[in-house]
Amino acid sequence: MQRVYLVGRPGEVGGAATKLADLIDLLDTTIEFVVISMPGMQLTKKESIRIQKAYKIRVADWKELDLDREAVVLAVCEKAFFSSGAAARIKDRGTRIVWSNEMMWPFDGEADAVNAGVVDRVLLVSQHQKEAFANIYNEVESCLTGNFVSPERFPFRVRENPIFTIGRLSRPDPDKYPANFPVFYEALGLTEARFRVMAWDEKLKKRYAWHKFGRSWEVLPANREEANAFLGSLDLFVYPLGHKVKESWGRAVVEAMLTGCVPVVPKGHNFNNFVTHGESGYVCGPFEEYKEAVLEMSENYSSRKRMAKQASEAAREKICAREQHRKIWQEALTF
Amino acid sequence: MAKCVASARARGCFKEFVVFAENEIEGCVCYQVLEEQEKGGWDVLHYLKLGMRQRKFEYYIWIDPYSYFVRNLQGILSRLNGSPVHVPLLVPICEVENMDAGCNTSWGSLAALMKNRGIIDVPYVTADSFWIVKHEAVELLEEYAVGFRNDCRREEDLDISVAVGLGYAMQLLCGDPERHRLESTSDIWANYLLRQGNTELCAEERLWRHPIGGRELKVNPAIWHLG
Repeated sequence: MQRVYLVGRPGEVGGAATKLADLIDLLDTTIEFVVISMPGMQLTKKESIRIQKAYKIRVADWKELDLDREAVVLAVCEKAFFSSGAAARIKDRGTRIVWSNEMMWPFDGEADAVNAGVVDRVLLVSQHQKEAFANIYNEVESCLTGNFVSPERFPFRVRENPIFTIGRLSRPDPDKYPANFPVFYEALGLTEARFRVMAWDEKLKKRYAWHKFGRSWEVLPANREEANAFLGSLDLFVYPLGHKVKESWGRAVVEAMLTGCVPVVPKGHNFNNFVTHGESGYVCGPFEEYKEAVLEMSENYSSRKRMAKQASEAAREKICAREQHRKIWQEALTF
Repeated sequence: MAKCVASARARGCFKEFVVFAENEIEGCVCYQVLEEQEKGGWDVLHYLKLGMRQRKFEYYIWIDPYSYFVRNLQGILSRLNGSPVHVPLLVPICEVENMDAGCNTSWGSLAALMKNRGIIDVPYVTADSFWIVKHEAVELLEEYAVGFRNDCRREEDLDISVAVGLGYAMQLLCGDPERHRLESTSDIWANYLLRQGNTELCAEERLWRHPIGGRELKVNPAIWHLG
């Protein structure tokens, strides 16, 4: 088995954490991961024990490790990886660094580190992300890995909600929500509906203080429900985004699709690479297109049932096909 | 302004008119006007916030002095359908995109700037002579309108008017833009009357077209803007 040293925190909550958890699961027969704890990104004893127990992998302090020119370190979405000096320390030992940012903007120290030759290979999740980082990574070897979401974590379920339910799941970042978010949902023309949103916090409450959230709304703090259960409660995943945000990939949309939640998502992001409009969901431009899609789904149960199945199958068989992702990651982590 | 207020009272509208003026105006609650601080009509946002501090209401309706009531405004707030702002959307910019927008650029270029900053529908030409904002949304309205003005200055060296800024903010904040188009709100307010003789204004249907072009509509508003 190949050994890969990991700078990152696998877990059950958050895009990067769940990505790592799914990656460990995907590659468990071919790669031995060792999580590194190091200055600037020290893991607590509690975190170390959690990771070791949950993923059956070793956590080691970096001083104990024999990192050399043959070793490969994979760092995923650790904001302090460059600014803390961790990347430079690893590089000083001659170790190869494979870096995956996950976002659409560079972290502190990232551009300088790339110029200094610290990153041997960059992993990008989408063409969108590649374009956003073109200036920084134009001379660094790159690999388009996409994202693997473990289908077993998001089983399909048939919806029989007594009240038609739409909603969304994302981190509680006001930039991820459009300026008109609550009236966007309410103006879709649904005569009776439930609106469920996770995660919601004080910043969002302040941003939308102008709106009276009536009884049809249920806004939940982060992790109030498990992602799988929350997505399973929605008929549609209606995901308009704030204008300052470009999604790098869209894990929450694929997670929703796996459970059989029909995605209704905006144009101009990566979503059209895995949502086929009219078959496995809807990719919408003007507001009228969202309205048409949502009303069609609310009024036509057999169409909705069929599209839910199609969305789930597309996610399971094409977007999250294990063998395909295994090959991509094997290549990404081999020199 | 006195004539505007008198026409409102004559039609049974007894809402409070708060005015910033140099002299007392009959029928209004008056406050001292400031010296002009900004060009392009941007002072309206200062006055709105000053007015908010003086008189607290749930909604504020901004109305240009050269307005005339031919009917009372009934149930206007329910027409917002939950949107915190209403600024009438007059003409789709795609119908007038080569026309001069009055700040050294075309309407088409302004539309592109709006779409790059979050407007997902067809951007519209708007006016600043009649608009409505919810108390809790005033800061946001200013943030988006002024933010757009600053972006236009910094990136394109353009000095946009407050009408363009308000229009941008409105199209970000409203729910269904269809509900704010003149076609859907022509019973509330309209401007740029196509003059048909010297007949006195009254509550009846007339033809409307924006001076820069676009489609003709039949309108029968409660309030005419005569500017």
